[in-house]
Amino acid sequence: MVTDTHPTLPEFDYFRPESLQEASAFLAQHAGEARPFLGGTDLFVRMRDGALVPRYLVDVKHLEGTDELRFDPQHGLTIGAAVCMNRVIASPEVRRVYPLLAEACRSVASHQLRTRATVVGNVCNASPAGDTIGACLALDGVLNVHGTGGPRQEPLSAFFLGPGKTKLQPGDIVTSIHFPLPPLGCAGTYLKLGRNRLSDLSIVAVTVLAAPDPGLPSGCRFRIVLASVAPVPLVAAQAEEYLANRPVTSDSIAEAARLAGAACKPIDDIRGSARYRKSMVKNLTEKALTAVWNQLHP
Amino acid sequence: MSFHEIQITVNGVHERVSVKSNQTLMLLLRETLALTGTKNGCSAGECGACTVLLNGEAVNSCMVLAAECDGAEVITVEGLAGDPLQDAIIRHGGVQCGFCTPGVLISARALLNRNPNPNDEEIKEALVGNLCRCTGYVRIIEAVKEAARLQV
Amino acid sequence: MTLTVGQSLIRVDAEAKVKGKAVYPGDIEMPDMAYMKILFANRPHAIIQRIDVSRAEQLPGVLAVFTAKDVPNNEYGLISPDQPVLCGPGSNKAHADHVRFIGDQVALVVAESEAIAVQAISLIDVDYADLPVVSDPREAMKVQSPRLFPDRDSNVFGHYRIRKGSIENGFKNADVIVEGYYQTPVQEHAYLQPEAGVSYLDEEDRITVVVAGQWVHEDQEQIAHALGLPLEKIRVIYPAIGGAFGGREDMSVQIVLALATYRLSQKGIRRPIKIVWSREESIIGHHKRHAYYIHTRWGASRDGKITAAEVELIADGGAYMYTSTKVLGNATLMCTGPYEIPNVNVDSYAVYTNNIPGGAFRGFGGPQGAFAAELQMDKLAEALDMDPVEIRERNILREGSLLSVGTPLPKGVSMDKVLEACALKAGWVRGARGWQRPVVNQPEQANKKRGIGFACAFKNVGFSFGAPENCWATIELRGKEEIDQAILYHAGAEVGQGAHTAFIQMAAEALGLPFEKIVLVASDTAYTRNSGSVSASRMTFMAGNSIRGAAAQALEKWKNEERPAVATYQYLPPRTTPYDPETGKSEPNFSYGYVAEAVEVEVDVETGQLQVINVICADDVGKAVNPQQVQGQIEGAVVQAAGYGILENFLQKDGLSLTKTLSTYLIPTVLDVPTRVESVILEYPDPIGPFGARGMGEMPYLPFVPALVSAVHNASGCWFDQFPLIPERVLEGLSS
Repeated sequence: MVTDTHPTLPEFDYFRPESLQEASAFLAQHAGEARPFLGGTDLFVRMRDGALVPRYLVDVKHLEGTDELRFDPQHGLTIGAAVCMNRVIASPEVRRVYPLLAEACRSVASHQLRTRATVVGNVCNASPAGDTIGACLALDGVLNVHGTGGPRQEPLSAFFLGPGKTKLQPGDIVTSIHFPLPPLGCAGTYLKLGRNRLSDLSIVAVTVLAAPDPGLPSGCRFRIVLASVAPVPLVAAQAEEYLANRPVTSDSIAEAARLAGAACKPIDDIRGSARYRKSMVKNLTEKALTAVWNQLHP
Repeated sequence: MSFHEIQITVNGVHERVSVKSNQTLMLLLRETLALTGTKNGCSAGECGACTVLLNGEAVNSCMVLAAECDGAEVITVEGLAGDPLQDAIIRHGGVQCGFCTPGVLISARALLNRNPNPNDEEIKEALVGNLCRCTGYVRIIEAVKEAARLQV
Repeated sequence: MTLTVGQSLIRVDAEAKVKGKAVYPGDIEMPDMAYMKILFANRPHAIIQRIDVSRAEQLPGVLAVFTAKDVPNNEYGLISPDQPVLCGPGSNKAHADHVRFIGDQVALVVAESEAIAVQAISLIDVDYADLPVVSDPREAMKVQSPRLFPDRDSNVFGHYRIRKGSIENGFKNADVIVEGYYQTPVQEHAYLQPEAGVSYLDEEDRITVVVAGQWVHEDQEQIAHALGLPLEKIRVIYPAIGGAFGGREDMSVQIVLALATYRLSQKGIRRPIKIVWSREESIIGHHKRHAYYIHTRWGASRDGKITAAEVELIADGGAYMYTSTKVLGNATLMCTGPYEIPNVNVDSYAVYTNNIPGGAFRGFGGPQGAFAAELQMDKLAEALDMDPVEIRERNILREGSLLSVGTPLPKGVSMDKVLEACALKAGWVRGARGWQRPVVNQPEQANKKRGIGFACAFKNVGFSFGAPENCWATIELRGKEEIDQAILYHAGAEVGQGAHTAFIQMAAEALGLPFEKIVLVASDTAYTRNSGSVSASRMTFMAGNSIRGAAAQALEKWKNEERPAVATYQYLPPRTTPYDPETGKSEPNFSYGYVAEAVEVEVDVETGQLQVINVICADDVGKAVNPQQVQGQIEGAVVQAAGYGILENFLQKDGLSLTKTLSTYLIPTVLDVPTRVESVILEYPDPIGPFGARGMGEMPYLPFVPALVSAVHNASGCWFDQFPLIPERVLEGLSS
């Protein structure tokens, strides 16, 4: 039945396990009816809508490793699952070494929502519109996962299977996301087109990261990730390859943007039509590529 | 559904309460503790009327479970007594229907705590999660600027 | 000279609001309270064949379930009682078993807690037989369309005609003719406080409803009518109200709360009952600004004089009448703009559909009319190679000008002065060829284009077209030698606009007392007499005149040594008259406000995004009772209109709403507002306004969208006959 009466959240049991082992065991034992719980910013909305009706919410925010935000100049950046986006934005290391990630976080909803929203949560929700996913993909993020079989790693490149669908199995808890050191001399940008100036989900969004790479004919390696234009966050591989194999000019950038537009399979929804999305992908990709190229060659 | 015993400090007052799993911090404040200054405009983190300070940070209290708040410190609009923001928003005419005002004041307080001297753009970014349908925001921004000046 | 009136005094309600102490309907807790939830139909068109509430009734904690058969007189409506209180079989009204939109209410559950009430709602079994959905008013007008009301011969429920001069001659004398098809969108009020209320039996056993509304006495009357009880058995009180903008003019929870209290008391249960709507319930549960479909043709001579205007207006009335016919009346008058046009034909229609009903929303038909009229003016100016301000000035309504309805405006017409003030402030210059638009500095970025547009409008103050109009005030002066305290009793609602502060300022002025000596008792039918609605920009005007009358009489009694000196006064404005059914001839209004706006906009030609750079609003308010609050109204109206023009996109498909939350239906955030809003407050006194004041709450809303569209045209060369100007629409227009 369609109902709009929810004054608050539907009933469930809040469970706060003492250890990752206990959490994994509980989640596996209650597969299908228990969910790990981080900031809840997306989960609660879907629960009020009736789209999700978990019987248990398993709070994992206090568990080992989930609260750390650690930068190591040798190995890179680790962001714990419980670290909220505002903490990521405020981190001097993130701003200095991974500014693209800070930029993506700043585009999410509002300040008070970002006090709760987490990067790991954003990734695990696997929404095609997830604002930080493009940056996480372009920066070669790897998830640290604790499952019933113990810890393991999941690279993001193969993580997304469909809207809301990922490679995570019952019992899995993502404890953190790790980023290697970004390529030397890289530059990036996140261009988001929403219905309003800031707080909305994207109509389309484009993440571009580029770094000098003498091994390539173009001398520069581009990463291009598109949001809100396919069932999963879309890496524009053809466009990336095209750009890699010839000198970077305004013409090759325009052609790469055209390829990105052609690669996406958007839908019509209340935020915009498929047609508009396709043309905006082209538009924003060209703009983002140009901006990043100019950053690299001032 | 399970109950959870929590201890929480609200506006400096220590409370010991039993909360249901699905009770949000907003409902704990409004219904259990009768602090109705925190408003419910959407229950979905979209309007900002329920914004409070949780351990010093602005949150939508409708998006936080009370059960998570064991040991937490919360400040609501009732706990802002004497804050120069209150006087500034009155004098600048930033209050009309007033339903968004508590959330606006809390967001502005959180901003001034982390950035005592914000520029216009920083003020707007801090308030983007607080919808107001009456004022057009102009006078609210002026009020935050003045409160920042006064507290330096 | 005035002492208190004209001062930007601090609002009387501000301190409680900033401290979190102001009590809104949802904040009220009473001992032993029970909670109510409503089962909404959630389908647009159906007949309810059976309702089985037995499973809900048996749920532990449920006190009662009510359906149509429990409503004594199952109908209500401000203009016509065409809406069932509860839809379903078994009541005293034929066809009350019809569901006509998703927000129709079907059953009420009262329970020990809100959670139990929610659960019980899901246990109510309803058998619906769905009917074909009528969602386009242009289709609904056709004879073959399914009808919403089987006992009516058409879905058209309102029609006005204006026939002035000879339209044929008018077009014959025209050198240019411009034809346009315009569509204006639905808009959701999105006040921050969703509907809520509490009902109980007071100490005199009156069914008492504490709720947020716009007119306590109308709420009282609607409740009494549906419950079949005398007025004095019903009491309505307004606490703090979280915004209204017209959206609380019709009933939401008023009648159902009273019904539950009434029926429960008959079972011997005398507990207070509380209801709070969720945001989603609010969005489906109350009316919206009407969508309008407008076809119009205007002619002008080479010297820029308009010779003819022909307009057809179709309003999507949605499922019930609400105030649609009154809104239509306004749109019919405003659709030819603040211009004197010798030959006018207007035909306007209000039509039932299965959409959410259309009703009152700031501007009340004015914005829709102004959109078509002002765009026609701009297009005529373009066709004649004339400046848009120049063509307006050549046709502007002046003292003594005849309206389209064949009568002059009331004295105090300042439209020409307002137009001039706005144009000058916006950089227009008057040269040898008349007014000239300023050249806008273009930004350096190749993808950004800037333009400036101009529009003006007039808007009535007070109820129009013969609707009964009056306002009461009572003043009680206390003290011995000196007046220690003056108590003002007034029903007028404080919905956030600052009315109560204005009342006190006007009372202080009229009594010659300091502001602090006035105590206001407001918005309680037990203590105050009818004020009329806070709508039609009327409350400052009407309340002010009633307060002045009461003050004069109370002072007279004080002089005659009555202690306390109490006077009650009813202000009656000059009469208005309805449209003549054939020609539309009428004296529509007793007062107007005049407004003009210039909007500068920046268009991103790559994405279609707009940024409003600057808005100049010149508004003749007669007398600014509280200039800071007047400015707040201007800024608020401009931003609300900017939402209407650019951002707010209320989507309905086959009678279902696709935008039921504030993340799907977006209203402007602090980042979506114009970079600058400049208020030019003009004070040309209204001869019959209190201290010269005119109404002003709606006026700044009216010219914004046409001025915006004009600015976008100036920037890009494209006309937009539909809005909101969401990026996608703008880009499509630019590329065609």
